[in-house]
Amino acid sequence: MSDVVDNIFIYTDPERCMGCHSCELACAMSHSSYDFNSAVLAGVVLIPRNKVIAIKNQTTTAQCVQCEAPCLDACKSNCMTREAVGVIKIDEEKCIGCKLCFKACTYDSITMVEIPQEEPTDGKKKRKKLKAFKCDLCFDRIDVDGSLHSACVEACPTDAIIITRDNSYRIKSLSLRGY
Amino acid sequence: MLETPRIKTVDISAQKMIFKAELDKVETAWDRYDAMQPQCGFGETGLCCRVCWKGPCRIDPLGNGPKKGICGADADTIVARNLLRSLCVGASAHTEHARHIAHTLYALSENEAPAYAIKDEHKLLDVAKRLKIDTEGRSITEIAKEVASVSLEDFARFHGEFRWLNAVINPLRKAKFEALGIMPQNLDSVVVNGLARTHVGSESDPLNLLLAGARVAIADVSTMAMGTELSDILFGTPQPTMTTANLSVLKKDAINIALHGHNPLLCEIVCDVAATMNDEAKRLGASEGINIVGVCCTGNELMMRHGIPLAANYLSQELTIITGAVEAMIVDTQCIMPAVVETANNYHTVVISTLDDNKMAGATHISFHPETAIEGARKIVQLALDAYSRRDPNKVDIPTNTQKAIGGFSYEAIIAALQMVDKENPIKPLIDNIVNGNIQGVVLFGGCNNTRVVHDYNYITMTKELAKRNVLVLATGCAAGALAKFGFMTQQATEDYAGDGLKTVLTAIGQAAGIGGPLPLVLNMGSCVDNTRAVRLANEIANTLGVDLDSLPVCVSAPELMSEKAQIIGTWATVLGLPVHIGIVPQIIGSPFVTSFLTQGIEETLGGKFIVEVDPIEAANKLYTEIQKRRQKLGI
Repeated sequence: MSDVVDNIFIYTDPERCMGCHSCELACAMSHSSYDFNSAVLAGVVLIPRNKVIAIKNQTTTAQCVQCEAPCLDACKSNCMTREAVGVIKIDEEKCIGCKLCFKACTYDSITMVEIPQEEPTDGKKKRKKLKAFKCDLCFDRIDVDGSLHSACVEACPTDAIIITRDNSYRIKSLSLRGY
Repeated sequence: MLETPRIKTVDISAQKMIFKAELDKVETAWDRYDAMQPQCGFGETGLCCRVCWKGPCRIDPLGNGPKKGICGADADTIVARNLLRSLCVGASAHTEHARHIAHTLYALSENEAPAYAIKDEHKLLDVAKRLKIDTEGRSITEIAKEVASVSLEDFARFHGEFRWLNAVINPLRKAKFEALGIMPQNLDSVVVNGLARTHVGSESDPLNLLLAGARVAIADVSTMAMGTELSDILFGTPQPTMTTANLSVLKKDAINIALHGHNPLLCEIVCDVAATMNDEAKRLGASEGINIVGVCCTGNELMMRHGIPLAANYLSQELTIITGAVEAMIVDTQCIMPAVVETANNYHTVVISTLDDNKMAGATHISFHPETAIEGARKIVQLALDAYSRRDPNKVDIPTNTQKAIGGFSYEAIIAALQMVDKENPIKPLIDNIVNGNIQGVVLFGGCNNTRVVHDYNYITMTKELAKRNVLVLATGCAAGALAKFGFMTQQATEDYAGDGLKTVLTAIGQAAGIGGPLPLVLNMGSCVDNTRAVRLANEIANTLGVDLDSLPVCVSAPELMSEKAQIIGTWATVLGLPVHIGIVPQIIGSPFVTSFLTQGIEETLGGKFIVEVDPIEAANKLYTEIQKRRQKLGI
C-alpha cells in the first residue's frame, strides 16, 4: 500500500458508533438532489454509499477506504478518477455499469445499483441499467481551501466518524471487516 | 467475510419449518431480524425521545454529543418517560382484555349472550366472596350480574373500595403501597394519568415517573386477575389434562384451524361450533375431521381448559402456516405478527381477524360480538372448510416429533392436588417442603420469544438448571409454550431433570392425587394473563406464614421477553416484592438513574428488583442465589 498512505478516507470508531444509521441517510441525501423530506414524500429511493454493519457486539460502517485502487485500473470507460486529496471518485453520469471496478475491488466497497428505467416505447425488451456507487467522501462538497465536508461525518450524533489520512485506521477498519 | 449461520431456534420442528420456509421462499421473522441489523443504539438504550415534534432528540451516552434534548430533558427523564409509556400500553392491553370478558359476563346475566354460560358456579361464588359480594339466597344470575357490575365499576371507580385490587394484593403489601402514595384508584384513569405525565413539559422527575409506573403496575395485576378469574367463571377453571404440543400436532388428513391471540371469548365458541361441523369436514375428504390447534396464549387458554394441542408460541406462529397444512388462522388480539397475512398468501391459508378494534391489514375480517358469537364462529369455520379444497398437497410438510404435555394447573387445581395430601390445610405440605429444603424455592417463568436470543433456548436451559437444584418451576404464556414443546410438562421430565428433593415432593403429591406418578416437572399455569394464578398461590403461602411476598423464596424470570405486556408484568412482580430476571437487555440502560433504581434502589423500598442477565446458566445461578438469600432471612 505504498502509494495509498496519503489517501484520505473515512473511519468509524466502533466504540462510539450507536448503529443509528444517520450516516447512511446523510450519505444518500448528499449524493442526490433531494432533501430528506421531499425524497420521502416523493417515494424516491436514495442509495447510500456506506453501510452500517454489526461485528459481534460492535457497530461500525463499511465503505471504500480509498486504497491503491485496482478499480481505477480496471475501469475502461474513464469514469473513475483519483482526485488531488487522494479520493477515488466515480462520475456516475459516465459510468456504463460494466462491473469491472466492482470485480476488481478487494474490499467489496463498490455497489452495483440498478437504475430504474422507463418502459421502452418501441416494443423492445426493457434492459437493466447499472451504475457503480462508492464512497467519494462527498468530494463535490469540497471547499475552495480544499477541506472536505463529508455528510456522514457531519451527521454522526456521537462523533464516531472521522476523516483521516492515518493508515493505521485503514488497517483497523479493514481488519474489523474481516480483511 | 464468511460467518457461521446463527442458530435461530432449539425447537426441532421449528428448525425444520425454517428450512422449509427457505425452500418455499417465504420470509420469517428471523429473515426480517437479519435485514434489520444493526439496530439503532439510541432506541436500544431508551435514549431516543419522540414525545414532541421538536424531536426526535437523542442523547449521546458515549461521546461529546448532546446530553439534553431540545426541551432540556436529560437521559434519566427521557428513559423514565419512555418506559412509563410502554408500561401504560402493556396495562391497556390487559385492561381491554378484562373489560371484554366482564362485559360478556354482564351481557350473559342480562340474557344477551346466548353462546355463553356460567360453566363454573363454584368459582363464581368464590370470586363473589373475595369481591365482598353477598351471595346468600341469591340466584347464580344475580350474583354473576353483580360480579360483572362491580368489575366494570372498578375500571372507572372514583369512590369506595377498589374491589379487585383488594382481592389481589395482600394487606401487608397494600400498607407499603399506601405509605409510598402509589395506590391506584381504578384501572382506567391510572393509565391515562401515566400517559399524561409523559406529555412534553409535564413531569421530568425520573423517580416520580418510575413510581407512576409502579402505580400502573399495581392496577395491572388487579385487572389481569379479573381477566383470568372471570374467564374461569365463563369457561371453567382449568384442571390437569393430557395434551400434545409443537407443530407436529397439525394433521395431514384434517382441516386444521389455528386459533391465535389472547382472548378466550371467541376461541371457545369456535371449538363448540367446529365440533358440530366435523361431518361436513369429512364429507370434503378430510378423514380426521376438523383439528383445532392453539398458537400463543389463545392456545394456552385452550390447552389449559380443554387439552387442545398447542402448535406454536410467539416466534413459531408463522411456521404454523409454513407447514402448508393450516386452512385457517383465526386471530383475536395481541402478539399476532402482521406478517402472518403475507405468509398465508404463499399457501392456501386464510387469516381471519375477528375483533373490530384489532383488524389485520390484508386479512379477512369477520366481526365478532358476544351477542352473535355462534353465527360468527360458523362463518369462520366455513371459511376454513372452503380453504381445504385449495390445499396443495405438495406444499404440506408437518414435523413428526409430537411432545406430550400436561396442562391445566390453575391455583384451584394445585390446591386440589395438595388437598389429597392434607385435606384440612392444603398449603401446609407445600410450606413444609419449602422449609425442609426438598423445595428450595419457586421460579415462575413468563414472557415471550425474542429474535435477539435463540428461540426457546433460555427457557429450556434455565429450567434444567433450576430443577436439578430442587426449584419448583411454574410457567405461563410463551414460556409455558416453550416448555410444553420440549416435553418438560411430563412425568418423564420430572424423572429426568428434577433434583432428589423436588422429585420426592412431586411424586408424593402426584401419587396422592391419583395420577400414578409424579406431577410434571413444570406446572403450566396458563396464558400470560394468568400469571395472577401464581400470585394467588404465593399470597396464600405468605398469608399462612404471616409474612409479605418479599420474604418468600420465590422469583420470576422472563428470559426471552419483548412485549409491553411482559414489561408491565415484570414490573408488577418487582413491585409485589419479587426478584425478576430478564434475559434481554432492557431499553433503559441509557439512564444510569433508571437502571440503578430498577436493579438496586427499588429493593430497599419494595423488596423486589430486576436482574438483567443474558446468559441463561448465569441467570439460573443468580436466581438460585436470591432464593438462598431469602431462605436465610426466613431462617430456613
